Amino acid sequence: MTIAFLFITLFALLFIGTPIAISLGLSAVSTILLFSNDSLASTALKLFETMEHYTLLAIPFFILSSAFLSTGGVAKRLIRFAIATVGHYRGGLAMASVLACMFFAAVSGSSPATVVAIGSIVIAGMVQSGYDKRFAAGVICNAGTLGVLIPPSIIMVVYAAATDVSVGRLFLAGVLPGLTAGLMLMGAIYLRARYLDVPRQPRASWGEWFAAAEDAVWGLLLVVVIMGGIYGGIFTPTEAAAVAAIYSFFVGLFVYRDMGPLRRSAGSAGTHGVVLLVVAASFTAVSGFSAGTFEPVAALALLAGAGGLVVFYLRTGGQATSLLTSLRELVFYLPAAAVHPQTREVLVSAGRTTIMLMFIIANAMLFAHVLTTERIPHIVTDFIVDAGFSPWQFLLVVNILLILAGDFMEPSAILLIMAPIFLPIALELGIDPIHLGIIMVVNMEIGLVTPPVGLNLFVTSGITGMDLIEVLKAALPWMGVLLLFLILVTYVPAISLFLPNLAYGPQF
Amino acid sequence: MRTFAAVIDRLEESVIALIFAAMTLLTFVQVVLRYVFNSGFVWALEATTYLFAWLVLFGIAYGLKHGIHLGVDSFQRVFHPRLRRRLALVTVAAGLAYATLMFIGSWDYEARMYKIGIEAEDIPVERWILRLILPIGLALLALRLVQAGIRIWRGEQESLLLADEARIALRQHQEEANQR
Repeated sequence: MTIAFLFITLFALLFIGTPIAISLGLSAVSTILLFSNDSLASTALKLFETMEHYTLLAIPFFILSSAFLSTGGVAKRLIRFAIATVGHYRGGLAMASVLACMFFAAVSGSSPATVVAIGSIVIAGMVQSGYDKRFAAGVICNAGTLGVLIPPSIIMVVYAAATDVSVGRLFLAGVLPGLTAGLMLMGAIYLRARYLDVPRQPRASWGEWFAAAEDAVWGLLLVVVIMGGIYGGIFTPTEAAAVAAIYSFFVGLFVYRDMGPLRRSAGSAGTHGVVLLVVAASFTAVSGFSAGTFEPVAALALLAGAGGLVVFYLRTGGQATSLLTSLRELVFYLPAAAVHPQTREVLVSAGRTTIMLMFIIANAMLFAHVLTTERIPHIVTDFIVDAGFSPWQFLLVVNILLILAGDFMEPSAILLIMAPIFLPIALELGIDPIHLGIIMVVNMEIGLVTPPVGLNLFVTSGITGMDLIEVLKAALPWMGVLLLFLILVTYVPAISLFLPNLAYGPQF
Repeated sequence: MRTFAAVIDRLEESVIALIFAAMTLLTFVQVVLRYVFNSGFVWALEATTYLFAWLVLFGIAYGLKHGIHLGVDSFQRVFHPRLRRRLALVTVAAGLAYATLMFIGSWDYEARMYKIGIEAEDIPVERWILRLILPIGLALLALRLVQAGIRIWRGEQESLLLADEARIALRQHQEEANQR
């Protein structure tokens, strides 16, 4: 009765167009008022307490770090590198688009933003080199979803907060599935391209590959900073996110210079990047050795800084003047960059995203709290276990439920509501919580390309001018690949668990 | 001349940007201090979480005005405009019910904390002051909802502007393209 009221109120509110956060919150509060003894005061306090959740504190920092690097300039650099890497295979341009989507999604963390940034450049490029437009659109629409698996992933942070598993483990668990999905898509493209006989690109010279890598690596290093920091035990995921935000600020304004006071000023990203690397490395090394707490990391940083200098020396034949200019700019323009209008703009836009997401999360937690006080997870677990479900049957139910839910709700809200229900059952059936997390994330990924609210479909239709049905038709075969991937991830736990177990040791 | 509303907008955005910058820098500095000086501020973590809460709770009302809150609006499009407008007014009422109930709850909580006079864990300030943004934010939300309701009533606005991530992504891309 209580639960029926809760869900009926929620769906009625959503249906008439109430914002998701308010729908979740109002249905939860009215249920509490009518059926429970909780006070309004403790309910209101829960809103506040969401922001005191240490794991969730990583979310604003990840959003900020991606806001500094989600520019068209970064997209172009990553695309160039991807084309130089795989462009020469048959269907290489499409494969490179998948690779570029993976790169960009890792840096930006948002799937629709990835489709827009990468898609608006590569779809036109593919059509120009003789690809069918539907082929191009279908590939991009699906490849844009890969970002949620590749760390840093905000959805994973939400799952970790909902279930108290370690963010570090979960991030690491996403790496192999992310690569697998990318390779499966590229494999399918290769087969399809052979059949259609699409043109190849000329193989990029080593010089071009190196130049492209030198340009792209500064954005991609973000992932290394985060994963290295967490895995090396230097900082917590939340701190890693804050460090990533500062790093992105420097890369965005001083290395890539797509924004800020140095916008359009001369110099190569390679030079500015080496300067940043050397400054950061010497700082890390000095502090590491003087504090004596993390010598291995300090030594590694020193090595990286020295390596950067050597590579730079070899590339330029030892012309240090550009390095000095860049260093001077870094020091002199730092205050100007900090207060630049574009920096403020990035902060405000990241602030908007944070507010929107956290308002939903806070209310979803309230909603989940009502479910827990009504002992729903307990009842469902008993039901599933008594009915004698085997693990594979349970996981099938999980997949179907989540794909359906993903069509109507915001992913992080779904995770917060469903994860506490699924987790006890999974534990009962001997399924690793990390594995369950990856399965749930992959389902959210597929929800992005299925109607009626598949965001990527809308975005692809927006950038190509194709209508929605056409995009859906184009996306369907590639969506099949993703479904195949979902089955693989669901029934082969090792893909998810191999890396985290290797790094941290088995959890059970 | 800039209108009053534009000044308020600018002010709200500055508050958001400043709080965001402060919490990021504070966390970063904390990491650096720990490694360079083997020290740090005991109050830093708690201060960061309070800043975070102020950022979000302050921003909800700002977000309502600018239509950043996600919602599903595909169903209503098939309705007759008059019905659509009535439903939009119902959503405003739902929002007001939410804001009012939560406001009452937060007021109760604040009153209790005020009476007890308990301080935060690491910051030597009374807890009710640090959490004052809860009733303030909800009151601001109610204010913005009433304004939106009036605009819908007068027919100046169709619904509570709902955001949709697809549209946001496309618009941001358009803006960036226009800058070039």
